[in-house]
Amino acid sequence: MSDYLPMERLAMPRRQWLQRAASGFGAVALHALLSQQAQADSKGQSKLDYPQRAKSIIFLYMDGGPSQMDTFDPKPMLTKYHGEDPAKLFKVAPTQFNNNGTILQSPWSFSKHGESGIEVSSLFPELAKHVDQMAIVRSMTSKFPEHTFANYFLHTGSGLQGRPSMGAWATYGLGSECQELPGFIVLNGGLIPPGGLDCFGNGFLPASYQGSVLRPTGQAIANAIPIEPKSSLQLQKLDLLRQLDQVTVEREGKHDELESAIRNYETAFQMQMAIPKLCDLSDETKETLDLYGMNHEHEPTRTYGRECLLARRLVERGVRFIELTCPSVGHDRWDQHSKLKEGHTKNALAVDQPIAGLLTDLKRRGLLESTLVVWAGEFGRTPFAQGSDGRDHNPFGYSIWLAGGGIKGGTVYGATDEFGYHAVADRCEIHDLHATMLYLMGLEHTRSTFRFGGRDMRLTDVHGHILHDILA
Amino acid sequence: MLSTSISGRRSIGLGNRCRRPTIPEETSPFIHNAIDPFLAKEWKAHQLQPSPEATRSVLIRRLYLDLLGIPPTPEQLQEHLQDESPSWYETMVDQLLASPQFGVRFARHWLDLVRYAESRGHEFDEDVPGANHYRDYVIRAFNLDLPYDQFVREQLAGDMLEQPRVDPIRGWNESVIGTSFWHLGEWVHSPVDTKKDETDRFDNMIDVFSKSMLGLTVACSRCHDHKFDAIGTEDYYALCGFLLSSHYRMARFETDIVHRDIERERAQLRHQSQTGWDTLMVQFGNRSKQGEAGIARWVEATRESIQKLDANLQLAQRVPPENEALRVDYSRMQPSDPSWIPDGPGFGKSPIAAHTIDLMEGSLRWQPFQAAHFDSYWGRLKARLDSTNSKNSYSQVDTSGQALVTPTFKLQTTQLSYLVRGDCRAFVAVDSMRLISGPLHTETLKVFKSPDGSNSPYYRWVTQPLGRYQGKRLHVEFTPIDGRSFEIVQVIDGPPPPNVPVDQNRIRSTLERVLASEDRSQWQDIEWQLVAGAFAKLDENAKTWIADDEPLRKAFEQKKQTWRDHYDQLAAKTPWESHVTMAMIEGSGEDHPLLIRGNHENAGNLVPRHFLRALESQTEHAKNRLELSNKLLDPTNPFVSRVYINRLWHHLMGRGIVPTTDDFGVQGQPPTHPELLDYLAARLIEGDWSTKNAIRQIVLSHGYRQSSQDSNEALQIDPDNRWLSRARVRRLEAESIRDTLLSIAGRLDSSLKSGSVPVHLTDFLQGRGRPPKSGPSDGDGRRSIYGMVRRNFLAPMMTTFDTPNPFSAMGRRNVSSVPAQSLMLLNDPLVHDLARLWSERIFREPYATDAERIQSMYWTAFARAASPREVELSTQFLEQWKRDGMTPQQALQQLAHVLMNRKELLLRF
Repeated sequence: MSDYLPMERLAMPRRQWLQRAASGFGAVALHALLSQQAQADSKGQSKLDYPQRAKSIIFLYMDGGPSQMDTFDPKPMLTKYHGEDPAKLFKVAPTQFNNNGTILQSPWSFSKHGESGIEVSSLFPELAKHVDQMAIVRSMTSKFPEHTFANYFLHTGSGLQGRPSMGAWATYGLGSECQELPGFIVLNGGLIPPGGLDCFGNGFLPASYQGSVLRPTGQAIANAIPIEPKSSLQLQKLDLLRQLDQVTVEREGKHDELESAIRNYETAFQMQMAIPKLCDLSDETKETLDLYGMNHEHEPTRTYGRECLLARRLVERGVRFIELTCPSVGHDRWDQHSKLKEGHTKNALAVDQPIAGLLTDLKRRGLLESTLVVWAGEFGRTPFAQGSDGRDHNPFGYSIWLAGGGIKGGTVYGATDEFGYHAVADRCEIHDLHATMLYLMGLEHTRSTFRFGGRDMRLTDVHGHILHDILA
Repeated sequence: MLSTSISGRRSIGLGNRCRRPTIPEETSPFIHNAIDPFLAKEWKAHQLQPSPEATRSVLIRRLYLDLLGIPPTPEQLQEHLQDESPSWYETMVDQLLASPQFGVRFARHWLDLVRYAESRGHEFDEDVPGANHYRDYVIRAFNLDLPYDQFVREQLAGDMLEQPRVDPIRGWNESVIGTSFWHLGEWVHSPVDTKKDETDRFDNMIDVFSKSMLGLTVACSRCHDHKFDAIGTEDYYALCGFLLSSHYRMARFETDIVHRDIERERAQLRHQSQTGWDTLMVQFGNRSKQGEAGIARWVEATRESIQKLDANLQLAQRVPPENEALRVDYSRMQPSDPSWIPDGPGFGKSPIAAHTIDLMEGSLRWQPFQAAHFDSYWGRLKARLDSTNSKNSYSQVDTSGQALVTPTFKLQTTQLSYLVRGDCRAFVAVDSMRLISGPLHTETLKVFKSPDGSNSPYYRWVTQPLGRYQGKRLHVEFTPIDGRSFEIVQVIDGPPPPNVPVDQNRIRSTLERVLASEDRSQWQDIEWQLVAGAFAKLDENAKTWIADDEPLRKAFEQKKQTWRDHYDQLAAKTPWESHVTMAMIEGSGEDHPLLIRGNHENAGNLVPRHFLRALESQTEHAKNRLELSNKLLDPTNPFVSRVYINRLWHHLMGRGIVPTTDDFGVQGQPPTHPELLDYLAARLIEGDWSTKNAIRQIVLSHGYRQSSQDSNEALQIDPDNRWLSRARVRRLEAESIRDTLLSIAGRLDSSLKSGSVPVHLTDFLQGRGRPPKSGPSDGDGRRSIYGMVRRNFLAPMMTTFDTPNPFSAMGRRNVSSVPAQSLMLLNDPLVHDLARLWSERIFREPYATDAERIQSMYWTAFARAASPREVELSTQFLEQWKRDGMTPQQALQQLAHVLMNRKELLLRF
């Protein structure tokens, strides 16, 4: 089957194997392979392209596009020119709603924090205490001013629907270190981003790499709870099933398809056992629960706190990629086309303490150095108002931050212009973020490919530069 | 001209012309037909022994699953097992190929190629209106064994065929449905950059077209000349031209043919009636000459009514033909001008001629000058369509068959003005974008209501502000409001010319000349409109005017009545209601510019439309989609037949002769049996492109009928089974798994009814555009192909078992093995419900013992008897749980659930 692969792949037997398994023709038991691979990785990691700085990624997706000049990118010029016509100050590009108002100053004040003295707005009093762990990229850009395009782009590196999500790429490239749980888990706080579940899809990669949606309350994962009237009944049935399937093996001979399907049941059973344990927080102390804001008066804060805590528990279990979606705050997502102050306040309140708690908890448990935490929306917002008190979408320059495994804390990278409209220094693309995330996991993005439709597809397409300046 | 970087490199992978190779002279007891010698050659070369034929029950189950996607029922199985004829297998093959379930199975393979879905995805998951009719069309096509070349032609240009294929029983236009193929992709609402949106849509259309039919990845050439194949950016943008020249529409496929006939009759009737009216008008004229009093009365009545309308009446005039802003002039359009682009019967075959008298909504109307005229006769059309999420304010569903499309042009100013009469709706398709649900682009759709009432006889200029779109390429589509008549005369790029005030004193003198036979050639639009205005009152005024002339009044009334009767008779036989589906309509021919490095903001020279240079044999370029389909299907192009036969081989044998089914380019894998591929491709064409014959030939070969049992030798020599010395064990596709579960539970409804079953919504299926209602968990028992495919809400059972995400052509599905699959079969309530149904069904049968029941279940589920060990294990299980307090049926339900989880059920041996 070597002719199925481009020559350069021959140097990478691990992913070649994965690819072969994915094709359905080599008929390799994929999951078993992943487990084996995970073991091999945890032993030596000799097949990685780079040293692995982050074993897991927690992606804090800020749905709707938080405003950069109200969070991590202070712009005094907005105050100076507040109320003036932006068209007199700079060229205004077409926007999603085309209902542009005047320059809008930030309703929040900025102050310096930590040893690094990085300025953070008063929206994030708790998070601000962690700036010395963060690398804030103030020059991120997107290619799309519409949510759905931008969401697909942020998640998959393409504005089109149906491409593999970054979590799928990460698990495709590395396998999972956890046999009991999927390698890519989406903790759904309530808001599914515009573009839907395809933001977490496997695209053309095999279904094994699809993000599994886990709900922080109620039944966590679809079909993970047996519905037999007695638990002993399911055990008996599985036992009978194993014996009967053995009859098939004896009759038909050994076929990979057959054996992998049998092994699959064992994994499924383990998963069934593991999920209730994962979600049972009774082994956490009250101090920990408080740390995450799980006793907060604001209900969305409690929800997001639970997500963050579950994220830590998933990291502990070796899950490769964990994405958190935002809870509903009774206002829109971070998409404040109007009532910026009210909406951003509520959204920030929901995530500020939980994320701060997560960073504290990861650090004190020694997990932060091997876990990459990424905070990002799909785009930023305009320095001028939409209507009188909102901001429209702005893909030309906005802020994200990274912390943890391999990140140089207390860093500010890149800059927008004096109004916070366009990235002007060290302009970054989403592809650069993806390349950096893969790099920190030990993968070279240009070599992490999957053959589809006659092309070696990449998360970064033909783009992407590793952001070395933010790395420790 | 090929761009320089690829000139001299004309080969595209397997791009040499297909010649039928001679069959190798091989002798082997395993040669059943012409396919086997090609395989035998490789067996010999690699010192492999082919496997013996699989057992009869394995073969029966294999063939049912491969051809129908469902296992045989115990009765079907017995029938084949007991057939003692030596040709039992051939008989079964023919039976299955004739089964309607065959179309269900093979249509699904095709739907994978055309990214079939019933919603658009993106933010709100808007409906893809009528997509399910395309699905049903594909099922019918496979069941009919429609020749593949015809099928392909219909996908590309079914709307343009001189003789569309008509369903002989229902009279539907089948061919036009094929063109839905183009429109099944993702759509976006409110793109900030419409040209970028268009380039993305075109990219997907070309990608799907080239992969599905040619096995080539032309879309790579959007940005650069293809690195490996002789396909250049010029080829890509040449193909884009065909898309730029074609528009989306909703077609009334069910009634299209009969509507054409009726409109032809109507035109004849109108034509005939003109002569009758001419005669009557002469009589009117005579009468007016006889008595001043008569005409005076008419004029008086008319003047009064005009004055009532507006004391300061102002009337619109046409702009002269030399006006630079004039984009379309229906009033001067010649017959058979290609700029006349009606969609459906509503506008007739041509603009309505000046001075035509027509009966409309019960009144007589007179046409002052030639114009595009929507006839309210067709305003009664109604569309039938299932809808889930429809936010598109221009979904076109209701106006299907009632539209007039202008040629495409570039907007120079910031507005368009139209000279119209009556009420109408104008939709401006900017960069072919037509999903309008705000926040942007709502100005592309505008309704114009006549201030003087919808039946006002006067023309007026109306304006559509389009400031955002200056410099953009667009066309306009005019449709009626509530089916009422209207006219469109001219379209200008810019502000309307001023109206001309009508001198009240001129009215009388003008009207007095109405019926006089003086020279009218000097009349302006104003005069003609006043005549039309007067004529609009003819019915009313004639009553008083000719009240004292009994014979003339009677003749007038009778004439009108006869005409009305004729229309009523026609109306009585006109089918007003029909289903609609997406289709193409040919617009004006447009070439697409070459976009430098794929950047839509960096347009180079226009590229003339043509097929791929490397494959285009004649020098004459294809100019429209129909000619494109002819080039594609030209016998000198080897790709279409090879790619198709290879797809069939892939579906039946588990791996294509060319394993990369969608990539026959240099980057794809080479064929394992190149001569066999060419032989089969040549036979396909010789056999009139019959899919069923091609399949018959493959499944009759020994290569197909072999056992799947591996020998150690074969495993050593050929672990991947490239040389086909045994059959491949394969996991069933998602659809087959579900259909099999339904089938063995006795819950399968294998009917081919139209419509789609909504997705069963679980708590895990969330997000914008969530359908308002959840479908039944068992999908009404219908075959999986009838489950609604919503891009943002794909059925978990399908995605878990690798049904492809509908975004591109996917000829070869992934086959993954993930715990979610096991969890689904173990814990999904549907599987438990089906196990219950199955056990209840077994208990309705007169079996005496558990052993008998177990045997029956094995025949149903696995097409074989249970082994003694299996009976023993199963019986023990039943006994134990009955002792534990379960009823016999409850215990059997649990066993049924175990059997539904057997790996054997998921596999085809």
